[in-house]
Amino acid sequence: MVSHHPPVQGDLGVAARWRAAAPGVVFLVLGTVLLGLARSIELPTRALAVSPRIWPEALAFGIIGLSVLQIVLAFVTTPRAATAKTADDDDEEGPASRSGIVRVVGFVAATVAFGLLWYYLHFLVSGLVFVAALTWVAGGRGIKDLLLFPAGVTVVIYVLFGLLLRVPL
Amino acid sequence: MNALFEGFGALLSLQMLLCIAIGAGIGMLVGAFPGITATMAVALASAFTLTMDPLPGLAVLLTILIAAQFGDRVPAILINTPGTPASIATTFDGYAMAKQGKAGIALTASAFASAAGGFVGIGVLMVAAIPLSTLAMRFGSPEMFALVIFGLTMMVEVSGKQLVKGLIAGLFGLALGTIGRDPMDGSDRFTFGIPQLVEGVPFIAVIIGLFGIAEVFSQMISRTRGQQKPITSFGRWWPNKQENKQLIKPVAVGSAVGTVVGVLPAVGGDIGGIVAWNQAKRLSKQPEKFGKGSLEGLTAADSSSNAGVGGSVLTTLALGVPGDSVMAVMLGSMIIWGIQPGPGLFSSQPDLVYSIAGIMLVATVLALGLSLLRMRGVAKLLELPDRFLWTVILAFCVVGTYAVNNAIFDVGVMLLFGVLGLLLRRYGFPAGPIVLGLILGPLAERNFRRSMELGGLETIYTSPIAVGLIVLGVLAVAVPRIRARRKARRQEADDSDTPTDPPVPVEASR
Repeated sequence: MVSHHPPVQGDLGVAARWRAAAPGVVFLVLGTVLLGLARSIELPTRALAVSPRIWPEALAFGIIGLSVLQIVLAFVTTPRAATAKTADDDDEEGPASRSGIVRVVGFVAATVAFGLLWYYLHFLVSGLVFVAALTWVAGGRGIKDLLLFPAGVTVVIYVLFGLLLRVPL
Repeated sequence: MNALFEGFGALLSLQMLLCIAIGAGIGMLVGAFPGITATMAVALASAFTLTMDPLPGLAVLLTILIAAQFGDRVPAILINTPGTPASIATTFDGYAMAKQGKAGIALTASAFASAAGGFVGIGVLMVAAIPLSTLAMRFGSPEMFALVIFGLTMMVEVSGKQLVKGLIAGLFGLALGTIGRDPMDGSDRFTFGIPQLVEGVPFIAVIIGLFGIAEVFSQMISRTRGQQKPITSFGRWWPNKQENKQLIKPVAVGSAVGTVVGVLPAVGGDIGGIVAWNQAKRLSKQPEKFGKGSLEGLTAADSSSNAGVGGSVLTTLALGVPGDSVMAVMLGSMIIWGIQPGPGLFSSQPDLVYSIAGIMLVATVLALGLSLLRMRGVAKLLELPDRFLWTVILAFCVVGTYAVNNAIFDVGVMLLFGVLGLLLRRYGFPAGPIVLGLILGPLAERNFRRSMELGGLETIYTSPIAVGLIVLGVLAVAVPRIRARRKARRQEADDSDTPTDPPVPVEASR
């Protein structure tokens, strides 16, 4: 006689619950920090109808309360329901791939590096390096991808923002 | 009647038409690039137009504003990045439609809805300027607070089934809105000594980060090479008869909401679009489709933000109070030209009011035409391979965000919110409520505390307008839920009454 068990049980279920509870914990910390900051607001010497702390304090209590509820829900509801996506999320959003994470980290790093480089080099140079770096991180290889395309994009951006809109690039 | 003919007649010159054409070209371009706002473009253009005569100068400035609110729909629909803040609500359904292969119809319907909303706003400007501006004058702090609370009820709708997560996100957005100057005494609050935060968190950087960058990162992180791109097909370009019929109600709702919101001083098209989306959802027969690619949601939002232009021009001309930030820039130009907006303008220079309405009318028609022509060209851009498309989007978002305040700090904020947006998406937190909280939070706090200073809670509950708006807000949240629950119960009762399939004998199933 063969017996069937529910598919999600044991360690996998516990891990999923903790994963679902994690953002609730982060927001709980943020709410607590906001409460601390709100209570550190200096009160004015003149009398006011309401304290300047009232609005941020109310928001902090709201975040703390809802975060606790979120954590509780993560452990009470089934792991699938607790991690379900919202209405405006991608239906086809797949699991994160290792190469995808590397690409995102690469893009962030390239943007930060560009921010630093821009202080020292003219936009036409730093922009070219930036766009070439982004293309490389995204998988571009060869002269067309790493030189011609970045040069074209940099010139278009420079003409549009720098020359036409007079943004000091 | 004479004023009408004189006003419209003043537009019949080659110079005026050329000015409108130039304004339309610049406006469409400005709208299509995330980060460049209509306010920024109008401010830049005003430096050039000050040497011109008032009417051609106004033609350039007004047409930039109107055309930008057509151009901004394109990135909102195709890459989930609002071109200007006025198209935030366009992303709610526009991008979802694009991913379903309905980008063509979304772009076309959006353009027509924007034009329809624009025409309604202009019509109201011409006909109802005086009574509407009198109503707007009655909006003090308690009424504005109630209006913002009414707008905040949208967080519940945007959150969908993930109500708790949506509300946490909304409160997080409201908390972000507390960063900057205290609305009452002007002292710095939660700025940690960072001068760039004194004016508050740069919300355009936040919007581009949460919507545009997070979307690119999301595609990058989950897509392996060789997989299909989400938007490869634009589908049909023209709505069919049934769809056209379906659009009448949301466009009417959006236009009405947009005009009223636009009339209120200091409330922009971004808020108008969001409020209209919410109202259209509440009045729709298919509210469950909103946020998942509803043509009704898309057109309600777009018609509203464009109707708001007429409303904000109306407030500026009738009261001399800018309807929003871009009108503040335009008000400055008008004063330099010797035009004194205010209640007296309608009696002293009625022809000028009609000329302005005429410029807006021609600009709307031209922008609609350009929108319909340009869209197929934009389609080519999305045929680029991923490595080029991602790079172009990120590079333009970086430079566009920098261009808003010429601050690299804003780029850092954009990147931070891009990563945050990615994490929130993966944990099922909607980004919409964060933006809603960030935009409406400072307005809500300022008007709440002012009301308290004016006379406590009494000022709110003794104001019929404020009470009416709060009751409407409560009803708007409660009624759909009560209805849905009743419907579900009725469905359950029907199901239990309906005989199920007869049990199949074991032998028969073998």
